[in-house]
Amino acid sequence: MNEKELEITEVEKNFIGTVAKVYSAPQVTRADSAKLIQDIERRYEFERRRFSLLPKLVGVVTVTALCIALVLGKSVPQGDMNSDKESELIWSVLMLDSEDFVANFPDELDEEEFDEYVDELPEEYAALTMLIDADVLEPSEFVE
Amino acid sequence: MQRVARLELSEIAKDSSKEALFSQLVRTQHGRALSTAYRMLRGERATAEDVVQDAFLKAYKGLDKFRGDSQLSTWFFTILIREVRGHQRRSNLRNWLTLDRVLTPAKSPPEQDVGLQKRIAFALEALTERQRTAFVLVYLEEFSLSEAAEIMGCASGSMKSHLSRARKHMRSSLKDIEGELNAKESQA
Repeated sequence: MNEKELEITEVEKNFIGTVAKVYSAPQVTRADSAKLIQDIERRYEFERRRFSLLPKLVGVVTVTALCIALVLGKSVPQGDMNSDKESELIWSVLMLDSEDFVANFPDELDEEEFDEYVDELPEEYAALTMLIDADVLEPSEFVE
Repeated sequence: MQRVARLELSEIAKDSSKEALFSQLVRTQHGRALSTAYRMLRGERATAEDVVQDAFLKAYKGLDKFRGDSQLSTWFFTILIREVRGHQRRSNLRNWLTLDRVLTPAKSPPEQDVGLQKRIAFALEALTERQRTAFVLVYLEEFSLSEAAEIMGCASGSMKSHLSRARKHMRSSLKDIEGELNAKESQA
């Protein structure tokens, strides 16, 4: 203890020294320290394992939720599902400039010609073509 | 006075593994850590041991982040003091929420026949949190002013102020047994 740094008197120094001696802490042996290191490593490993189980748990929950969704999804009428897909496609097409495409939509193609025509189209237009061909949509619905 | 073990990063081989570094930290600081926690936690050894273990575990987890801006021992004691304070606050809250506060008033003077250790523990307990920490770190555990200031996250000037007040309060609280304390000192 640096008395000068702490600005204490001799009496205070003695008082503090006595307090420090009387209120002394238990001694620690090397064996205690070795045991402490072991305990900490064990606790750390335990916590690490517990933490590593979390993503697995989340995975299990997600898979379960997907399975439930699939089971519930099967009970949805097929027509509704088709309708959802159609809406999705329509919205993706609406983002395109479809006016020219619809205006030039070929009315009279045989099966083979139609397939070739579709193969050459970009994905979104091809999807729209399939819908129009299946009489789900009228080309006029896309003409502004 | 006994030379206090300090652990500097420069003392450790640069290629030391985390385990080796941690092992060295525990070997050099375990005793002092337990002593600090014991003195700050009313001499409850089991509680002090738990708090010390928690602090070392936190240090082990955070060892990768230690950049050597301070001494490793100072860095560790910052964690320890935070743990001790956290424990004290939780303990105080628990006592406040239970009947303990009704059955054992916190500031009632202890019986005269209580041992000297208990008297000192009680006197320390009556200090403010920062005064107690400063007193234990500097006077009992022999940290330098600057080290203690770093651990407590305050300026050296504030440390001197905490120490001065702590000294006065401690002497005042233990005035009636100062003679007994002096007798112990002369016996030693």
